[in-house]
Amino acid sequence: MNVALIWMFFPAACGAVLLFLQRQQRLVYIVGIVVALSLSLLAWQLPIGEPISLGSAEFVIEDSFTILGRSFVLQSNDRFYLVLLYQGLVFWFGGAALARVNRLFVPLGLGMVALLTASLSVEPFLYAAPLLALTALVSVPLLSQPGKPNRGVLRLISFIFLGFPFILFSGWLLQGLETAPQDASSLLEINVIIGLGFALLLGIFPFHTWISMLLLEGNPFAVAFVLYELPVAVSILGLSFIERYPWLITGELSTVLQFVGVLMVVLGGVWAGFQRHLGRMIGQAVIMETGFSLLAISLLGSNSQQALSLFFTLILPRGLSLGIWGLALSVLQNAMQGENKELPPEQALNYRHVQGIAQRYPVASAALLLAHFSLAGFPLLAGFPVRLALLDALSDESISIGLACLFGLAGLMAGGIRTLAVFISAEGVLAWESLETIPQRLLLVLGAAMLILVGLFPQWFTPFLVQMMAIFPNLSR
Amino acid sequence: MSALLPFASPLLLLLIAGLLAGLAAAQPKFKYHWLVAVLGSIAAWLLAAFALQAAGQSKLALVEWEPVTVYRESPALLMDAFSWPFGLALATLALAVMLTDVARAAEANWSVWSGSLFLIALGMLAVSAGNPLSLALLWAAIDLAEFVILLGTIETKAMRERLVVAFSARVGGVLVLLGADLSAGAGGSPLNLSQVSQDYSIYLLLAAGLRLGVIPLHQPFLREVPVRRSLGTSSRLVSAASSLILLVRTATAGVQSTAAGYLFALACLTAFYAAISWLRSQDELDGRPYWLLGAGSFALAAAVQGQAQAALSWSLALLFSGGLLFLYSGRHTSLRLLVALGLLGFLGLPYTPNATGMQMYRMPIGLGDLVLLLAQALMVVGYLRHGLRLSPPLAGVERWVWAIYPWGLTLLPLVHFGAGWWLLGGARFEFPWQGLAAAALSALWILAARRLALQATWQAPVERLGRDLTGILSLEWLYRALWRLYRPLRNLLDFFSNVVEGEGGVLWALLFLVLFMAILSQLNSGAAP
Amino acid sequence: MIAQEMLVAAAAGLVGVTATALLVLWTWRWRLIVLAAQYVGVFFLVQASWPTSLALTKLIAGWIAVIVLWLASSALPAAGPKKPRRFSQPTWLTADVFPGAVLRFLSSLMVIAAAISILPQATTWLGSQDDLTVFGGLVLVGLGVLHLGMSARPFGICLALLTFSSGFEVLYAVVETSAMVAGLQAAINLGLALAISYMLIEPAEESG
Repeated sequence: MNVALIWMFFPAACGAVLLFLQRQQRLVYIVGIVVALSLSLLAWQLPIGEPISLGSAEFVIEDSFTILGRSFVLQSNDRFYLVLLYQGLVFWFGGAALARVNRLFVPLGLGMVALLTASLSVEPFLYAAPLLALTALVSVPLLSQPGKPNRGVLRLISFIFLGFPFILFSGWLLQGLETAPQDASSLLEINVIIGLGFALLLGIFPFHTWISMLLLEGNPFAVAFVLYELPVAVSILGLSFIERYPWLITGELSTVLQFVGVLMVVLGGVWAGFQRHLGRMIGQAVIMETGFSLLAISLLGSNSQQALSLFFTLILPRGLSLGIWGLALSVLQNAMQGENKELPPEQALNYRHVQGIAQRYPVASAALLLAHFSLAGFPLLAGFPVRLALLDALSDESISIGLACLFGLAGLMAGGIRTLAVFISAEGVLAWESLETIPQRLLLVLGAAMLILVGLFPQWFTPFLVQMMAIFPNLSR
Repeated sequence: MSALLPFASPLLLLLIAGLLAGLAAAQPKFKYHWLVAVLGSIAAWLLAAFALQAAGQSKLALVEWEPVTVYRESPALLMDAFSWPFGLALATLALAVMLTDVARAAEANWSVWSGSLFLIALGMLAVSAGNPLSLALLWAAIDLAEFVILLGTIETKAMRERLVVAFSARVGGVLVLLGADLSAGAGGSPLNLSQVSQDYSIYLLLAAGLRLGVIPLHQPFLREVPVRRSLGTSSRLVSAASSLILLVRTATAGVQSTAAGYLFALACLTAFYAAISWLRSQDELDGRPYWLLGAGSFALAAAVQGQAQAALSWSLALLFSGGLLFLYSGRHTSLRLLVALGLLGFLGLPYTPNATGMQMYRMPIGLGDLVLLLAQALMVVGYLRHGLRLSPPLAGVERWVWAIYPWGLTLLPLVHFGAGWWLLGGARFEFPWQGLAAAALSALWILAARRLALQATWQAPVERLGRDLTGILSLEWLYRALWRLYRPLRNLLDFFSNVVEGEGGVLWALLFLVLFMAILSQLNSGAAP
Repeated sequence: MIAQEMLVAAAAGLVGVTATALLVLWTWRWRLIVLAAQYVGVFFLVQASWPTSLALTKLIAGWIAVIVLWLASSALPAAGPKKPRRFSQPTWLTADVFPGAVLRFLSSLMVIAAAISILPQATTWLGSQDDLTVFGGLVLVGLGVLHLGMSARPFGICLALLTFSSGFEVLYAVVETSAMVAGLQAAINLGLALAISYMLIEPAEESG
């Protein structure tokens, strides 16, 4: 028994089996949730590399698995990340059942997470890049309908394809530097190559266009899932580089990361302030989230523990908000298309089509707005405490960075306020009715309550998230 | 437990608000909601009245946000000589709302009481906020609660748009507060609300001013939202109180001289506009936004000059005298004395609660002070005009209503005078001539108006002048012009999006990358010695 | 040894021609045939650095990708990959018209010229003695990016990415020999072909 078998091959195999059970959707969802929940529980409880007694039998979960001359290693430090990964999957599968996503969501979701686990564990770590490219390819059916190409998906694949070779090349260069003396020009060369690779993989300006484009045509919930999973995994790959080669995070790289991070936060915010498409609005929020992650990483040079804590603390509010936002948006998109069959999917979420929709879908509208405001750092909501903490830490470096980020957040809030105005824009007294299904209402209300709970009592959740920095023992030391 | 005592009043009100909702849900036939609300309000008032005496100045950590490596501060409450009068005013308002609601039986029910108590409790917590983080959280809670409550009652699309504009101005205030907090943190000394540094006072005034609608002057509700009188009064006064407390706290530090002049001028302009509008309003509810704007401007003018006691005095006048007038729904000649008491609480005559507020005027007196004096006089005239009307009359109600309703109203000036005398030291203040001057100006105005009213030829031009003046001062024209800029800017961004997302998007991205790297390398080479 | 060099030179020439042809040609059948030929060139270029058995994975995976795309394209009702409804009308640059083809041809010549010009630096950077292999890789990468910039439809983008990926594989083979990378690359190329096919083919019946 080894880790790869449990957290990679097993979910992948389950996903493959579920591909053949497409006619029994309920069963597929139940199996998917049970598998994800079991794997998260196992990650929480099962010691890796230590003897486990089961009655008279005793066995050990080996922490590595070797194939084609390379190994996949998962150690005890990685368990918290595995818990988050598979626990998150439970949440996403639960929402998927109500968001009318593609039937392949559960099987491919399991496959994606298996690949993400592989990317976390592969040695040498830079082989994670092609695994992430494969993950992006596996996600294609979730983002696009058969026979109906999504331009955003094509752009995503294009940039991922252009990006991962840079990562592999940078790995080769870094190996060379381990033996050769380091000079300034080769360091700059490596930084540029790594930077380009991650810019393409993460959708950093100017390669960010696919993020908004995905939301035009894809199912918002499925897109939110991919936009949550992929950037986190790519960022962790980036941190692995710094863990292995700590000298990478020099003052210059920190400055570049801060510059790019601020640029993304500000651009995302400004764009959100002028946005007129509800789907694309999520895209702007995701662009800002990437910016915040970069800004958290940029603090590694000054205080690595704080930087990692902030980086991992950002994950929960992001996942929660994106999930609820995506679900609410799916409900509204389905409603719009149900009301007007002629409406092309990319237009269903235009402001002009959702005017006054809060009257008919108050729960979805409210949940959507709360998720939006949460990512914009509105007080009381999940995203607020960590944003404030991050801005505090950044302001210590330079107040202009903190204020620029606040400006970006103000832009996203302005987008939310405009959405709010559109939602309640109807003549006469608002005649409230709730056309969401009962399960939709329940899940959205539960999600909204979670947003407030995390926003008011972050101390209940943050310690767990902070423990994930154990993945990087050198940096968290 | 003893640390909790000074803050027990808002917590009790929250409990009562929840209890009312719970009772309504669990026992639909329950009839004593009002009694529960009144008893709860009385208890809360007693707790609030003795909060400062119970523990003196005290601080309470509500929750500890952990780990401290991530979160620099946690929500906390603070009870001191500034938060206590505000808390007492709001607790009095809660009790007054409950007691006077007996005269508004047709529009009062458990949801109104529960909503009022909930909002007032949030307001009491907000005025006791111990740090900017707590204040931001409570402002947000008040804004959301008020938004939801008002949304359910507004009937027109235009008013809903106004509601959203008001909400966005409030959010702007929250952001400015957070910006001030960040700046202070970056400066190495986190913002302390009990001892504000002058370096950041301008931001805090801006935050409070933005929420009050004073800086820059904006008045989202040109017409008052048609919401139940008691709920509407609670929501507007709570919202104002939660912003005024920041003004008062900031006033202890004052503002650096260069900015002070501009802020003072803005406050004068706003006060004048609000006073004219308050006077021209149909009735006190129609004019309520202008009352808040006007009295808020006076508090700001005092705060800008570092007169904390004057700012506090004006804030309390806004809450008590305003609260009295807005809750005075059933009119009767025998209750006019109460209006007079409310007016006295605002006027600033010697030995009245707002005498301290007259410290707002500078010596030697300048143009701005004259404008403020005129504005104060107009506010007084407006108060009289709206207070002395006798409609709708309080008639046909049961005797017990007569026994309770006046007490609800009396409570406000009574507590105001008490707080004014004991806390503000208004009675011990030197003879403030400005209050008398404002009263004299008011009297002159009334006389002149009566004369002019007899001559029909004057009416139309005066009315037009008032309309034009408020039109110019309201700055609506400026906001319309700014809004016109929005569209071309949006089109530009749309064009850019279309280009980078279009067929040549990949090549554009590569081009941008080259440009971006060129800029970065230029920056680097520029930075290098 | 000389035969090997001639083989590599031929392969470099072949990929230059095929990558240009992929840009200029319009009929999907021809393009896929050219792509299959390109993989032969890629095989010989990689084989210069890697053992033949490992290099063979490139050829096999590439051809399987071609077959997948062929099957997908032939399943379409029209004579070629149809224009999806959400894509704008092709401009003269991207359409099957003579001026566009001439411009694409000239652009590809410029890219090849650029590849020749940076060849010395590239070989030094990669620490390789084999100029021709590096040249082949550079041409594929350059023309792949050019193709990508000029394509808007899934089929064209797929061909562009496969070309770019082939170029990277050739260059990476010069610096690293890894069965794992070879396997992952093969999986990625196949995955791309499958993903694009998924986007091209509309299901026979609505799956509800």
